[in-house]
Amino acid sequence: MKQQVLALYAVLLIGGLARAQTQTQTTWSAQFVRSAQEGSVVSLDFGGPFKYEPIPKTATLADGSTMLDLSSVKLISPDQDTEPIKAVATPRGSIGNDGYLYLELNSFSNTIGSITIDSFAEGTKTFLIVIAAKKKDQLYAVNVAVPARGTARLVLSIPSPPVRNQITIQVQNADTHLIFQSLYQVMAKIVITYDFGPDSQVSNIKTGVKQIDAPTGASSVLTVVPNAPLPYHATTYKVNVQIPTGVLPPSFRIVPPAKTYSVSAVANFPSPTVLETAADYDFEPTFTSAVNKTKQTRTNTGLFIVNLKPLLFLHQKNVDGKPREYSYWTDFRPNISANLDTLPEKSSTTPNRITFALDSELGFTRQRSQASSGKVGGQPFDQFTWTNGAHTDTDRDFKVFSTYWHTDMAFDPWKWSETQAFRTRNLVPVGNAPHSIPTPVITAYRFRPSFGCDLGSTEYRSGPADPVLGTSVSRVILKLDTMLEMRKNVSFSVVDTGYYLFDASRRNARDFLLAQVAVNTGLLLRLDINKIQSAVAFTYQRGAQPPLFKPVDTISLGLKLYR
Amino acid sequence: MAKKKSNRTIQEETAPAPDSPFYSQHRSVEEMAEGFSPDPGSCVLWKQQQFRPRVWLAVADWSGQPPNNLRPNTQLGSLVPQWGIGEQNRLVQATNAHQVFAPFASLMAPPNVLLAPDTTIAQWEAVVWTFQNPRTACWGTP
Repeated sequence: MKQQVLALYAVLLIGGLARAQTQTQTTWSAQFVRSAQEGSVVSLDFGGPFKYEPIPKTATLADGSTMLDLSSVKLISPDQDTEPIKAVATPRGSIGNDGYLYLELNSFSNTIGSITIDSFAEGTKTFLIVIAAKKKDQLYAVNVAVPARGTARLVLSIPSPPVRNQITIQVQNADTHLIFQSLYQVMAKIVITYDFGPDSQVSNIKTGVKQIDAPTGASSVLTVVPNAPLPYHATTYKVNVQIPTGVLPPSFRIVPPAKTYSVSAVANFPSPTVLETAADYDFEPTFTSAVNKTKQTRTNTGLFIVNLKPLLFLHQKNVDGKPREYSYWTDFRPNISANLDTLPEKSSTTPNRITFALDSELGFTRQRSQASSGKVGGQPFDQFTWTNGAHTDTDRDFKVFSTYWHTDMAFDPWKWSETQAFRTRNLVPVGNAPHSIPTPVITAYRFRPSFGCDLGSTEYRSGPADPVLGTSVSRVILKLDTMLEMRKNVSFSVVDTGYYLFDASRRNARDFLLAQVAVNTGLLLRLDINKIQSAVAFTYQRGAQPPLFKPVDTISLGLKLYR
Repeated sequence: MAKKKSNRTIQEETAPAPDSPFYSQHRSVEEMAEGFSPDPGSCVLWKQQQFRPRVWLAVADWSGQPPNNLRPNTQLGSLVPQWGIGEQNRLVQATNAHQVFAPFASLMAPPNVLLAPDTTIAQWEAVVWTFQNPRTACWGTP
């Protein structure tokens, strides 16, 4: 309301523009800053970069929709008897090519001369920044809160995910060590509230303080560890810290008087944008028709496919900014994959297999020559992933358990795979209106070869051993994982795994093919929860796979839920 | 059995003496940033006018895109052929090569998670800021 009154006031005040339209900008934000080096400035963020042209002194916003005249920036004071304040606008935060991230307002003046906008006794005043557009009779406005000079205050800020156990409090115009000691003494009485707003289904969370770290050196920042870590939430939420007023110095005067001094900040932890574990999840219930070649019959059944493959304990190396040709990482990937049907054991001919694995990965990237730098997509590089792990294979009925060491090397050369996000990106220079680009026919593709081997033995068996396969696990694996996605909605994938069984008495070479056509139905079924997508999938599986290497020939129609 | 020496003792023994030609005085992060006044206002302006543009330039360098093609809501996964740990490694490397925390001698520590491909540049800025190592005198600047 106050902002609207100020906006109306601005319209009436600036040159009597009775016909002018003032638009309050919600994507803009302004911050008053008093620094030792630059004095009082207002930093204006248009919500993105802008293009600055020094000669006409104009700023064109990122989407090209608005050209602002920076030669006549004014601040409107809430005090009604004061005249507009002129400010000099300077672009700051250059990103090159006349692009900037901030507009700095300084050198404030009125008809009398130079003035300071924070020279009032106490409290905070809200000024309205008014900028005229080049287009006639268009004014744009955004408000800025200016605290009185020397006001002691605490400013809260929230680190980024995945760090969820820290909140920082910056002490302004007060002794940081004194504030630390005061807060430390009443740590148990400080209340932290995570306020999700009235529209959220989640109840607000009230918690306390577990720890406060003392400021180091000349730092004016206290790091607070809350008892309950900052939760993930689909939308932004407010973090409010309430401190008993009595422990703060008198300079932290609150009007009107209150028992607690509150500071708040906005937290943005949108699960799963940044995840503790980025994982592959896949669940696929299907209706399946399976062929039994021995009996020359066809059976219909339900077949369920589940894959869970989280990524844990990621460590990255050689990323310190020094010129390097290689970078490395290690991680841990425990995973479960299961392929189960509902048929009786004797007549089952679907690919019944359950695999439990504890894999670790050693990956490295190799930079290609500098001569090819500057290409779209960045410096070309090749990526190798070496996986080692302990696996246990079993059939659906747990009749056979094979335990073995698995190793494989996967090769991902630059641009042998491209994601949908990359192939359908739409990037335009700052100051230009976004234009729609035609969607390519092929919106994503993947070509990923790998090779490896399994060495181990069958640890447990119910019944006699298969005379052909024997009791040991000794095989070489060659795998090709390919995918082609068309028009964002239809994907064709083929994964072919070839086995060479060293200890088999005959037919050493075996093969398993999984081909699938999936039609994305995410939008149709409104299942965009936690970025889980859905697809109607038509799957064909043929061949033989561990541990039993039974012949499989199935066609399935099902719903695929995946991420 | 000989008692194992702690790393601390070994460091003390192997450090060159002050009169040695190999001696160099240890400098704290604050000393490296000499001349920069880390008052809250200066930190805000430094973060806005130096740190943020450098992060953008690092993303531009990493992706081969002109920096003015980028927006705060541009997704990292849309800038490279296939987002993954390898690309994240390269982005951290590019960020550190651009010395985004100068004049502080801090680097971005690699995040111990794989970020989602729909992580935006604005979110990436916050991740870089959070993973500063060692923490600069401007840590905690909103």
